[in-house]
Amino acid sequence: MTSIKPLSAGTNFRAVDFPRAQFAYDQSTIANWNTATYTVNVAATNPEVAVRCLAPTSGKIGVCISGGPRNNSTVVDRFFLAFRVLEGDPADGTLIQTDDAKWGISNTATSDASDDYSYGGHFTVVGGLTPGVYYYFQSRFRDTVAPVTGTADCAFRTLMAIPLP
Amino acid sequence: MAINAGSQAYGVDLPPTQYDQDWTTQSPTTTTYTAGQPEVGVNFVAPSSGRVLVTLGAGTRTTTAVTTRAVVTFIVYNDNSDGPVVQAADFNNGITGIGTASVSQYRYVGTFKMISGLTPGRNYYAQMVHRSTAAVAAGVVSIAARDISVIPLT
Repeated sequence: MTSIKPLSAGTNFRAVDFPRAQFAYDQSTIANWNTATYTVNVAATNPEVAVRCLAPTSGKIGVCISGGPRNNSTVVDRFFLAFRVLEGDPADGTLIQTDDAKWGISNTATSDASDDYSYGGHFTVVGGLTPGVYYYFQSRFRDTVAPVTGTADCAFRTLMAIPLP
Repeated sequence: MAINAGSQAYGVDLPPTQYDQDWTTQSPTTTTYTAGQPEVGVNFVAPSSGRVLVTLGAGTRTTTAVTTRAVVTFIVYNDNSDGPVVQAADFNNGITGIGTASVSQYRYVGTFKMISGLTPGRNYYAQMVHRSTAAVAAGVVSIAARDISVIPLT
C-alpha cells in the first residue's frame, strides 16, 4: 500500500521519479545483411542491442535509436533499424509495440553503385506504459530486398531509453 | 524532510511530455510550408526552466531523378496555430531528404532541437510543417511518416 505524504512549501526533496536512463550499443559492422525479417543479432559477430527500463509515473519512455546503414550495390536495398517493446523478460514478455522502421531509421537506397553510410538517429515516445513496471526495448534490423547478397550494411547500432515526465 | 523508502512523490515540474504522429503520405509540390493533412502537432505547457526539447522524425524520398528534396521541420506558436510565432519554421531545425541523380527510397531519420526562453506555465503549440525545395509535380517528393514530441527540460 502506497502512502502519499504532504510536504510543506519550500521543502526540498528528490522524487523517486525518474528511474535511470539506460543505454546500449554495438560498434561492430553488420555486413552484407540479406534477411528481410526482423532479427536481433548476428551470432558471434554482432550482439543484441537492448535495454531494460523502468516506467516512470508518467508511463512515458523516450527511445532514441541510431545507427549507420548503407547500401553498397546497384540493388535498391535499404537497411531498416527499428525496435520493439516487450514487457518484462524478453523470453516471455508481452509484446507492447512491434518493430516499424517509421519509428526507427533507414538509409535511402538508389541504383548508384555505391551509396555510402548514412548515419542518423530517431527519438520517439512510447506512452501508456504502467508505472513501476520494467519494459524491454530491443533493437532489431532487416533489409528490404531478399535474398540478395553484398548490399545492406550497418556500421553501428545504439539504443537509449529515457524515462520522461 | 525525510521521505520513507517506498514513498512516491510527483513534482509539479515537469509538465507532461506530449507527442503525436501520423503515417499518411504527404506530397508537397511547392516551396511554401504547409502543415499537411492531417496536421501533426502538440499543445504543451512550458516548465519552470522555460526550456523544452522538440524531437522530430520523418521518412522522405524523391521518386524521380531530380535533386529536389522534402523538408520537414516545425513551428512553435503561443497558444495555438493562430497565435504569435515563437519559433519560425527553419530548414536547419528539421529533416530533409537526399537529393541525388537517382531515384531514392524512403529514408527514416529524426532530429531534435532545444527551445529556450519560453514563459513558465504558458501554453504553446508545436506544429510539424513541410515543403519541397523546388516546385515539382505531385508525387515527386513524398513524406511517409511524421512524428513529433515535446519534452520539458530542467
